[in-house]
Amino acid sequence: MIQKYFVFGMNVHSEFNLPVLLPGADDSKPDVNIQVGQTPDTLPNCQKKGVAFEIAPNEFLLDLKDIARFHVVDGTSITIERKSEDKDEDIQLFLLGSCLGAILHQRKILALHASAIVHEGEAVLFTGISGVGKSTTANGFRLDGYKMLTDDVCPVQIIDGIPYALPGYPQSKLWEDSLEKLEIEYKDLNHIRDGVNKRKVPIRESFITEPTPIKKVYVLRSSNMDDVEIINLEDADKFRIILSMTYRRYLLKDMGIQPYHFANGTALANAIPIKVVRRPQAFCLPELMELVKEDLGEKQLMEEPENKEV
Amino acid sequence: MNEVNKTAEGNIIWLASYPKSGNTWTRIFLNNLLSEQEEPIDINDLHETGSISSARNLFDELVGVDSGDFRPDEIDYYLPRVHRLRSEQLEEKEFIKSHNAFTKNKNGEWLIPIEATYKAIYLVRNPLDVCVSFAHHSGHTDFDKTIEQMAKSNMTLASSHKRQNNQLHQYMGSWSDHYESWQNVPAGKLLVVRYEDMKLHTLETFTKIVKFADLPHSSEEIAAALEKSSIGRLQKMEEEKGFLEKTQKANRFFRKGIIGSWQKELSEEQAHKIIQDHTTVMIKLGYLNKDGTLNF
Repeated sequence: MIQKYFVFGMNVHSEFNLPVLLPGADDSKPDVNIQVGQTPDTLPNCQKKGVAFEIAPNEFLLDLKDIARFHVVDGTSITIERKSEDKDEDIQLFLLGSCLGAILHQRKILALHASAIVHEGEAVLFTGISGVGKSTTANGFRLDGYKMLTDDVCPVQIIDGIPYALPGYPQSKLWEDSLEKLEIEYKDLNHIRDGVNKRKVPIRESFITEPTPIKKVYVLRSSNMDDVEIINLEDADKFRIILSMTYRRYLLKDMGIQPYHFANGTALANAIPIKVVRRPQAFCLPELMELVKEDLGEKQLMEEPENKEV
Repeated sequence: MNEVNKTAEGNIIWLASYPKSGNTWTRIFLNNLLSEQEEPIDINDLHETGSISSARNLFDELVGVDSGDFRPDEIDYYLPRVHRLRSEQLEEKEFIKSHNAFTKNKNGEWLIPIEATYKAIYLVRNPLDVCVSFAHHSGHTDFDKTIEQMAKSNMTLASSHKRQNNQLHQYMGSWSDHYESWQNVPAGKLLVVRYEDMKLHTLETFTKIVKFADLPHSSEEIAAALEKSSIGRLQKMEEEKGFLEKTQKANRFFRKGIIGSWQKELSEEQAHKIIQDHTTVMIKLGYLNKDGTLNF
């Protein structure tokens, strides 16, 4: 039976159950179809071969041992070939990661490796390398009453020169260590997979389902300094960082879509402020959040009263 | 493709060691040697040598998914494939650091595959000094704790299962296990270098490393690179600009680097425990004599 979903601005019709996604409209026309079936062993026109993937123009093949093989084509179709009958949770995880990432690339949509919250109707993105604290930071703000747009992947669509962040799905993934630091009780939260101590955190109540104009991008960076610091980026540095923080950027080059990626990256870099948040290796979320809030203009510094004395 | 090509050597020269045994010094020396610039290289930009065998970003990029979504046994399955592909992609030889023991995964495959290996340089240091340096590096002076870690047969770096470590887990085993494991590298492909020889017979020892790696540099060039990598210079650079590879807990990365600092810092019992734990390998490496006397 075909299920209808809506994710990253796309209508997805799927034979494979993806319960974590938001339902799509009954009368929606599919942008992407997902089916279960046979996939090729290898791509005839392969341009780049990784350890577990192959790339050809408009094609991506991901072959994960004991889990499944995924064939992603033209930004419109994903075929799943199961390697085991009891790995549907794992299949969902990798499908929503690298496979949807490949779909977005094939559709020439810029997707950042970022989590996003909403501040006064505008999206604030936290990007950075894996493990730097994107999800933890976004969830820190969520627990502080902010809405969340997406966790880990944030597609950006530029409409009339204004970049919009597109919503993902109402679930976050957090390591147990982060859950403890955020004081989230997790014994009833499911693991993302057997043997991996990351948990699925439902965020439906704080989830925003509308594309949201982007206010700022913060690049999280871990350092061995003791303080949290926010550093402004200018011009070419902004562009470089957008390119380097693109989700699964290493897949792009051999997909033949670099010109679009550069154009979208330039448009985003020109339109919004991008800042580096340099943080110590140790947990420092409260200080980080305070500094970010101040930077967002949330806490206006009291103006010094004029000295009227003569 | 003929048979010879099929079994062609790999392109990676492993700089292997237990932590705190001169690996960073060697990498900085190689960067100064390989760099074409006149002035000493920036210690925070060691791009003339490659990364570390446990680099998460390289793994993710070559496999195509986030390693953070994999179990440790899955990472061990993919790791030899990552190194093999990395070696195939290299157009010239590359030095890659590793703290991993030279062991196999559950499938019986070497984690560091021979096919990816051009050669391996194994750096080793008196475990008594390693203990002192490793404790300071970890931001404490609880030497008993470090002695225990160095004797632990399942000692693994970056092994927390509750959070995503910056690097992939690195199984090391005990200090002795680590040394013994690297003896599995096929004969002719392995050079063992003692830190003490690097300190005491610097030019001679580094020349041996350079020749073993088939680098063409002259004695003058090696001497110049050594001068640019002196501990005094490294300490000054760290003081001025910091060092990215320092842990946050440690006061500084380039501490003393001297031979025999254990004599002032370890108690007699602590030294005795280390010698007891590692007698065989210490004798093999000339740190300990059969009559129980020490050489450094």
